Amino acid sequence: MTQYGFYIDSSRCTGCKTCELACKDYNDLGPDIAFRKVMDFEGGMWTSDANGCWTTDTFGYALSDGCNHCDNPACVEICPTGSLIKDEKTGFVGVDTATCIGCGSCTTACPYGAPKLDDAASVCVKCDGCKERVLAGGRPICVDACPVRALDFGVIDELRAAYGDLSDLAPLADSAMTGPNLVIKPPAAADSPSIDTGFLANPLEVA
Amino acid sequence: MTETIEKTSGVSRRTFLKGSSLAALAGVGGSALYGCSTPEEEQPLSETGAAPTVAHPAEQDEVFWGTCKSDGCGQTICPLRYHVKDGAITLVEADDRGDGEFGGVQARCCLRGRSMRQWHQHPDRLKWPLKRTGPRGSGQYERISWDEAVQTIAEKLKYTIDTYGNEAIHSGVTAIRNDQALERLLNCLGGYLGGYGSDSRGQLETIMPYMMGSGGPNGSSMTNTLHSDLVIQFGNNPATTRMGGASANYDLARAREKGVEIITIDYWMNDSCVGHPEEWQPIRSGTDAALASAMAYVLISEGAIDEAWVNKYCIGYDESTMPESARGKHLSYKDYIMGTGYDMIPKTPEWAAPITLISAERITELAHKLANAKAAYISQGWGPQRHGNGESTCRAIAMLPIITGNIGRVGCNTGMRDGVSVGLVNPFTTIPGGENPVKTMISCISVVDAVDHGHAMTATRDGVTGADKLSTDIKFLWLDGTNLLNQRGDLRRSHEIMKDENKCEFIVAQDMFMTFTASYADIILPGITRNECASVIALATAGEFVGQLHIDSIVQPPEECRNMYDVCTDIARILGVEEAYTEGRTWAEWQQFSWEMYQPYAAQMPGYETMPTWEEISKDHIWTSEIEVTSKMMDFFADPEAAPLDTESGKIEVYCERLANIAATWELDDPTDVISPIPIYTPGFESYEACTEDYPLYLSGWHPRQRFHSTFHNLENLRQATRQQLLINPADAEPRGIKNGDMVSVTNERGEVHVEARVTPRIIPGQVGMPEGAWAQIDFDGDGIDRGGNINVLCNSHPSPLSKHNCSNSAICQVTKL
Repeated sequence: MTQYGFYIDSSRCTGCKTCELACKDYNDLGPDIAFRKVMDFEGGMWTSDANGCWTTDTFGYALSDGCNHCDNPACVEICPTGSLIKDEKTGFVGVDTATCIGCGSCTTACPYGAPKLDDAASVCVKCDGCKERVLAGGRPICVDACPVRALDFGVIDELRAAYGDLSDLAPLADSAMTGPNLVIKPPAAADSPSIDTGFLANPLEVA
Repeated sequence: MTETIEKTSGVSRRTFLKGSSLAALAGVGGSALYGCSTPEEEQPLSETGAAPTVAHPAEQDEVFWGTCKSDGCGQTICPLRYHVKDGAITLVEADDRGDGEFGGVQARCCLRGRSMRQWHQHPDRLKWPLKRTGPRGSGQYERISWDEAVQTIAEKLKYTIDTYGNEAIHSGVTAIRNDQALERLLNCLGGYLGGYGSDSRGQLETIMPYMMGSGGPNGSSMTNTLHSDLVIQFGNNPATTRMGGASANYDLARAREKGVEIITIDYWMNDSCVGHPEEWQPIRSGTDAALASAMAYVLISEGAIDEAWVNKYCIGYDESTMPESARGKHLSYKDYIMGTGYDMIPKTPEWAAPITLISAERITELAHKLANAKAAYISQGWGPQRHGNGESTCRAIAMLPIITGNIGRVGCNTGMRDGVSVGLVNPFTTIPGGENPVKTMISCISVVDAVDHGHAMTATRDGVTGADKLSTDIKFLWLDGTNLLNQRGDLRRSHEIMKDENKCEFIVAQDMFMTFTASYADIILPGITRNECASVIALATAGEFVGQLHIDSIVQPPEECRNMYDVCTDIARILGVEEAYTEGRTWAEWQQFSWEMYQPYAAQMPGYETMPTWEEISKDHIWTSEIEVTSKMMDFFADPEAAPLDTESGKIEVYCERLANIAATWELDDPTDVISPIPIYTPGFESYEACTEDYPLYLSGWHPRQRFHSTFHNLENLRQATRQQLLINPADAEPRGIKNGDMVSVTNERGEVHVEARVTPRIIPGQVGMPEGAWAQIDFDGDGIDRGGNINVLCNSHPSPLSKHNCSNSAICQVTKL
């Protein structure tokens, strides 16, 4: 099997969300469902001197995240009808909407929140890696969309050879849980002395 | 220079198969949105339900070059690839020519470009002419025929001209098309009261020519930063204002990875320093001139200035080059900085620290970084000048590149916002507007004032140009694709004036949607986009290529939406000026006319040597040409005698005698307003010093990523991706019991806004901020509270001292949890 994966350069990402909107346009998604989303992780403290002048170790970085088409996908494992399927050819995790009963188990099992429940259609929907584009020799639309080329896509072994094997960066879940096919370049902000104060600053945008 | 004419990519058949399961799902409903709009007769205007969706197997799509909202982002005009099937847009993709890898030049659009399908096919689009049936601002309208619409407008135009004269007609700038169709009509009818300046940078663009000539407001391209070793940007945020299209945002990312040090001075950690917190220098909003002055003090006092070099190019840096009228009076810039003139206060870092809230040590460090740079690129966004006395702020910042010699060569800038290497050719003039016989103008910000009391507005108090005073109030207002009432400070004041039918007697709005502003119009005309007609658009990047896009009606306008040119032709016919207006040309024929009219001039511009013929561009649809990176004012700095500026003296007027004369003769209506012949720091109208116990917080705004000003606010996906929120520091939120995501009330004497809070350390304590452009939702006859999150409800309408432009980043407020 060829396993594909994503590379996210968080040091280059400005959080513009073009990836998210390109995906929505391509997949005809409305405001309630995003297959790719951009998380803002922020933190830091402020101190002032006698003049009221401020110093701060505030940091903020943006991290684009979608389905990471994991080696051990929690969604596949939990699905009671076997409707979530890891494709043998590409490693992409897809949904068989004919058998999906819309129970929503996958949406809570996935540590990345990738599968979404389409309430109106009562089925799970998710990123399929733009499988058709990829099989036609292209790349996922989010990758081609990034104005600053912060996203890359390819065979995961090749991505790791080119960019390393980091796949953990706050606020993402521990990669040991599911083996995401994801490589991250961390931003300078990840080394901030106040990193422990970090929090997901835009929970309402990425829900 | 390399010619890169694309011969074959006009209509690309290259497509990818769509995800069949998702396409099928889209038809089920739920997440499906914005397919082919199938408008139903008599669809109520308030209906916002999604139109039926088409699944769109892309293998059957045709792909055409098209554009985004056509006046771009001030710099970026992206070429987009529209997939079209059965007359409907099915997908929008970005530029795919050129090198897609990092470092290559491929003008990839931003999230707004990716929303063009939704914008074009939104179910809320206005579809036919409307006549107002309720009070102004109520949004109550009924459908009328085009015949009735154009007949009514023609009659009102004639009545206005006969009764009040042409000066009583005003046209708000268009934000959708910029095609001059309306201007041409009004000029054919004897003209109209013009507007100068812009909401974007009105203070800066009015005052900079006094100091640096007509090119003064324009900066070098951000591409220059690839040749710099230091970037210092005051209140500049290309990562949200020019984020797509191989523009400033991309250039800054490339410069960073080349190892260029970047410092962004802003009251919030804007998106340009996201991921790179070390680049952010927090500052108190509105105090940039104090920081710049203190940095100048360090540089001057440490002998880091080559004063002979500065004096070669400048008037009034020090006493030796002062004009005769001001000689011997300690009125030079250096006298101001060193405390030997004006307020006699040395502008030391210790002086600036409690103003800017930046420590003296850090200010000194910033000055030293600048002193040590080989090629510093110093810029300012348009936020610092959008304060009280911003006219002085923008000049104070511009002093830093001048006194340090970081100007007039590649890698450097003029201290202005990053610009483009080559001016845009014919994007906004696809039809010649003609000459306006009425020479009187007002600041474009003064429209509501001129409706209210135009007859009392004068040159020396209100900035009327071309005459000593206005002869009349504005009686006929044509809002041509502009949401200006939403975008100017103090909405309640605007409402009170605009609702009065005895003041402005007739208002026409042309727009694609029922905006806050359109709801004040007596007649509303449904507009079209540049992709729904024949169009020629100049493409732009920051500094690496120029280009042109030829669009040939990618899709048809919905329902009864019409090109403004055709509407104006109807009105011209009724009023007997059709022949003068059209000269026998259709809209499409004007495109060719304008192209060929510009061609001889364009060929003299860098990159345009290879501009194609009309026949070629009509076939190829897109043409681009690479250009060399250049910096602004290179000719002047190479030889100031041979290439003088078009200022009075031909040099940079650090001390400007004309401004001194204006300061001595103009009436200013607030004691905080200052017109100064040299750049100084002075807090200005409603500065941070105006904060009170009741309104202890300071409020400023910025241009957000999810909208182009107010355009696109109604696109649900963009609104969710980046929600309209008030940024507030935990130090201010916690005592108020406000948590991230809570709804809060923001109030001051002008109004009340309800908005979601984003509690984040990314904004300096004492300051709150929210992006401009959200559509106001106010019942002025009810509780008067805006639930749309529109900052302008809280912003002032005070005109700046010289340019009479907006100072809307200067506001005090209180925030409470709801």
